[in-house]
Amino acid sequence: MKALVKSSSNRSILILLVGIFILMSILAPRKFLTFSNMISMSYQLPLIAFLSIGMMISMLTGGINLAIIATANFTGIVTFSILQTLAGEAMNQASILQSLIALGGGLIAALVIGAVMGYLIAYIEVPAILATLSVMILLQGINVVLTKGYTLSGFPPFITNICNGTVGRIPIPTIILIVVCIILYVVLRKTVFGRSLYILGANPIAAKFSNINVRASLMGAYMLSAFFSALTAFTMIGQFNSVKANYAESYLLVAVLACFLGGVDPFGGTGKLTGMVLSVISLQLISTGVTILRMDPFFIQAMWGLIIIVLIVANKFGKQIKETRRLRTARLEQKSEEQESQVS
Amino acid sequence: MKQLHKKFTDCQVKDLMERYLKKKIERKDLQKVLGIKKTRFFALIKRLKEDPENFGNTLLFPTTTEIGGTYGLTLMPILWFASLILGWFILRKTFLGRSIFAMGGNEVAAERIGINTMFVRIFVFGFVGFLSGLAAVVHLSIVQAVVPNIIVGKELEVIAAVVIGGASVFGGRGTVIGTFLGVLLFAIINNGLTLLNVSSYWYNITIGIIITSAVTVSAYQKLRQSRTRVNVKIENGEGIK
Repeated sequence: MKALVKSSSNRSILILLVGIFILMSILAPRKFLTFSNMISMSYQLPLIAFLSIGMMISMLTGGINLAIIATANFTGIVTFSILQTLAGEAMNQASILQSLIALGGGLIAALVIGAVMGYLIAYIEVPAILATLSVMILLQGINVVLTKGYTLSGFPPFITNICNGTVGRIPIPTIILIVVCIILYVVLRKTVFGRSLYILGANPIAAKFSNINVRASLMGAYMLSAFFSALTAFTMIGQFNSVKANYAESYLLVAVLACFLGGVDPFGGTGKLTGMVLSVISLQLISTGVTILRMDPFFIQAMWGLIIIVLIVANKFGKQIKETRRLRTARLEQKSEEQESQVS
Repeated sequence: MKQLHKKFTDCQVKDLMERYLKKKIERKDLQKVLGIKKTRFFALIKRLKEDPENFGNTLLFPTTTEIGGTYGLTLMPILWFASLILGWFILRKTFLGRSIFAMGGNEVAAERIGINTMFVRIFVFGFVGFLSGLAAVVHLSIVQAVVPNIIVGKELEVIAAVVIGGASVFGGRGTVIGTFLGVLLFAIINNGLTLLNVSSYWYNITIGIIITSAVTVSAYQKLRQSRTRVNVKIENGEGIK
């Protein structure tokens, strides 16, 4: 916690988070400061969180993954089709084994997509934005062809329970989110793979010369990113009990926004998981707040946009102020040194 | 130009009026269809008789179909070509345009040779805003309705068209004619698939395959070029991977 407060990159987002929390507590204490509200927020949180973390991993390497949502929808649709072929008509009575096979199949599909993207980016050296963009358009098309544009529903209770159930009163996706975040934190901080992602983003040539297998790590990063898309897909299956070609499409740029807000450098190399999680929580707080205060729901997006602009400007000015202060002290020191030399 | 009727396009109104003049329809029926009073009706008839050419929308190269309707090129392509020429002129023939390329290639170098990068950046984004405004006008005149999020999500398609046209995402490279061809490719694919009776489900797949292969091939060519270059330079045979 101390490190969280101390690290300067997280400070602004933490101030924002606490600020919104206090503001909401003052404006609507009876509705906002309730346990059920916290639970409802933790229901909505995992969806954006998984997407944003997937986006963050690709951004750490200096790329971007525009296909996260298309991959997620593709995963959901593959899961649905596997279940349909296994269980046939009686889909909502599918056995646990069949459900597990379907979920595993979806996960594998997502990883294959991630591997394809990673291969294009790492081995053929297509710019990340182009590779993921073209894969995104391709997947969107495949999704529409597979579903014929319909919403397909009817998942067995086992899957919906896993993806939307509760333990005590805490939703399972939130527990999954917490566990995955802890694992990812360790992976990014303590393992060779995680550290090499950061170096890769900061300077790929230096990474190459420090004996990092650049191509394999890059491919791994995109597969990890696709893994988070799969987690998003499972959360969506649980929450909507259906799959569709274009669910959550508007969250793509929200995920990018959350990354910026969390202090992830789009050119790669910097970005912390803690900042990321904080930024997702504050976005969620804003949207819950707007809903509780009964403002126009479209106002949520406007607020998100406004806050990122304000944060960027504030960060910029903060840096400038620091710089001028540093320069001033440097100048003063120089002056005093000059005076000393004159005196002597 | 103001539209003649709320629910009908000007061509349709003109067509109906001409049919009335040829005594194919009764006046009362026509008034019912259009939902207008007698005075307004005769005013329209008068306008049509006085100036049959300019009744309704202005069309370029108007032609008549076998059924009797007129169609032609609307004025929107003129807007498009004008902005193309404007963009080409600014990018190729002015100092400003060359500084945009210079900045894209290497911003620090551009600043060193005396380019006001801040002004150039403001101009670029301002110009994009201007073109977005033009796009809004064109879109409005086609759809004739304002919806806050109707073309949200088109950004990525735009990026794809521009990239197919040969512009570099890292800046410093790209041509107006290439972008023109990229946009044209998308339009032709869309139109061609419709004419081939391909189900609209397959549009995105086709476009996705085309973009993926185009991007991959060009990246692969670049990769091979750089590989041969490295191999030539290194003497011992042991190169950097």
